[in-house]
Amino acid sequence: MLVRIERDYSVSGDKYPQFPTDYPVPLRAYVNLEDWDVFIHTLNEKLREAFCPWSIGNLLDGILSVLTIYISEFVFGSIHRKRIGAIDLYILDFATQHNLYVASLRNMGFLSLVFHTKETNSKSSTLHSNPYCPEHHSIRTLPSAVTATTSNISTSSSHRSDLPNEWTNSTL
Amino acid sequence: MSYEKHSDAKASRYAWNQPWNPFEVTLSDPTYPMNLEEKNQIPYRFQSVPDDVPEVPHIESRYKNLPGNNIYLCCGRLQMSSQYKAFLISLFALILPGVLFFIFSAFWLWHHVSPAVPITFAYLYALAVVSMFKCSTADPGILPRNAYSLTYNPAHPWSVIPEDRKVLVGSTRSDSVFVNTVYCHTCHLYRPPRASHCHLCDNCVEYLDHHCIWLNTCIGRRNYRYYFIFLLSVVLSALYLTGLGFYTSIGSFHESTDTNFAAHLRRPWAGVSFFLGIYGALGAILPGILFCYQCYLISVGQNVHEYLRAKSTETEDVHPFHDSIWLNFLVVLCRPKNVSYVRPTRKSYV
Repeated sequence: MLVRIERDYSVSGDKYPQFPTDYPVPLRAYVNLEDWDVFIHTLNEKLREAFCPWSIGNLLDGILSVLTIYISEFVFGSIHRKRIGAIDLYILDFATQHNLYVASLRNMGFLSLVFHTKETNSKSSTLHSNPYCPEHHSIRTLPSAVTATTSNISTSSSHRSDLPNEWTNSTL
Repeated sequence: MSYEKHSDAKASRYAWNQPWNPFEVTLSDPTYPMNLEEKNQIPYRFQSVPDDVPEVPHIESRYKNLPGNNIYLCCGRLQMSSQYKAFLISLFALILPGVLFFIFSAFWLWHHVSPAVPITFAYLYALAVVSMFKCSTADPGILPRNAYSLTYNPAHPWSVIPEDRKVLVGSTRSDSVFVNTVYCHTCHLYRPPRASHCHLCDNCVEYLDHHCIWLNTCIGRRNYRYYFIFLLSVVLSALYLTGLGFYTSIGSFHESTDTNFAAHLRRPWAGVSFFLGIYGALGAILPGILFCYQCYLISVGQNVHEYLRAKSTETEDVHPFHDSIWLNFLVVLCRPKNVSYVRPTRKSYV
């Protein structure tokens, strides 16, 4: 059985990949709540450190590679790749400890975290979707619905089915 | 130049026409568990693998099995698109002034002005040439295929064509919007918000700015910094070449005994330097316009693809990735060069 945890774009956009911290119910037989919380928060922190553009290591790597006509990244490598290798090993260690298989994050393009359980009788795909999909949650639970600013109202005038419109704001 | 295109292994374009065999393990299935043998050494704590681990076929060269219109050189280390004629033209246009400068003008400048002048021009010129080479041969950020392979669901037998999804971007801001993520039927994945499918390279590229025919590659997330540095260094080198060319021709005219400037231009170093001055001035126009265009788009938090799509489809021009001008420049130019999704190295990092 494949359990797919999709990437969460709500906080960081496209700066660095983040994953939702909800507990995946199909992994209930393998991972308990505390282990999952520690794992997913540590993974998000590691991904933020590895991909954040304004961290010191990434800034130094970028400036040094341009100044040395990209010789430094050929000679010294980059701290970013070391961090991604550590993230891969961290995920693999977590999966091995909890008797799971896991697909490499870089093989998935950092789009989803895919765990593969070892039971062989069921091969269906369980999609643990992003909690911010509008078909899974009502519009009232979104934080953008609570903060009704003028830019938010003006933005929602042409996307009536996606964002809270004036009628929805009036009922809140 | 080895150019192999596996048209038989290419996935079917239409979702309802693809072969469905869940027991067949192919290289293009990224959902399969990580192959430990690919790291060439198994760490000690993972050596006690249970016996029911399925056998994964040995991957000899991953780039040979990649679909798409790409040419791979040096055993997959260099990669570019398959349309290379415009790239040869732009390469010739960049190499020619450098060769002429170092043959005819550098000698006079070294002895009559200062050795630092040709050295600084050589540094700028090397930065331009190497940036062009790195930009055109790097992986632009190709997303791996089959990240969301369609499987037959007996509970919903008609849901084989996936619909678009809405992804919330910027939930902690007042201008948060839902960005449409489209399912790519060629690559079988839901593209991230700023990715797009390049029909020339036949790949989904992350943060696809545009496909540059002069550099023979897509400008994406992994090579945008090279592209920006290439434009900047070409503009600076061209302006520097204009100043040096005119200075060499006029300075040598004043130092010589010639009374006619046109007659003085018949000397090789003077004539070629004057030509280089004109060449540099004309050559700085188009990269300069492109550089200003890229700076404007970075300042408003967009890329070329998003800008043109917003203009052409007459939708609302939302900027969900715009923070501030300097933060936009910092994010676009200083983000780390991500690892290649489709060409992972076999070396262990730890």
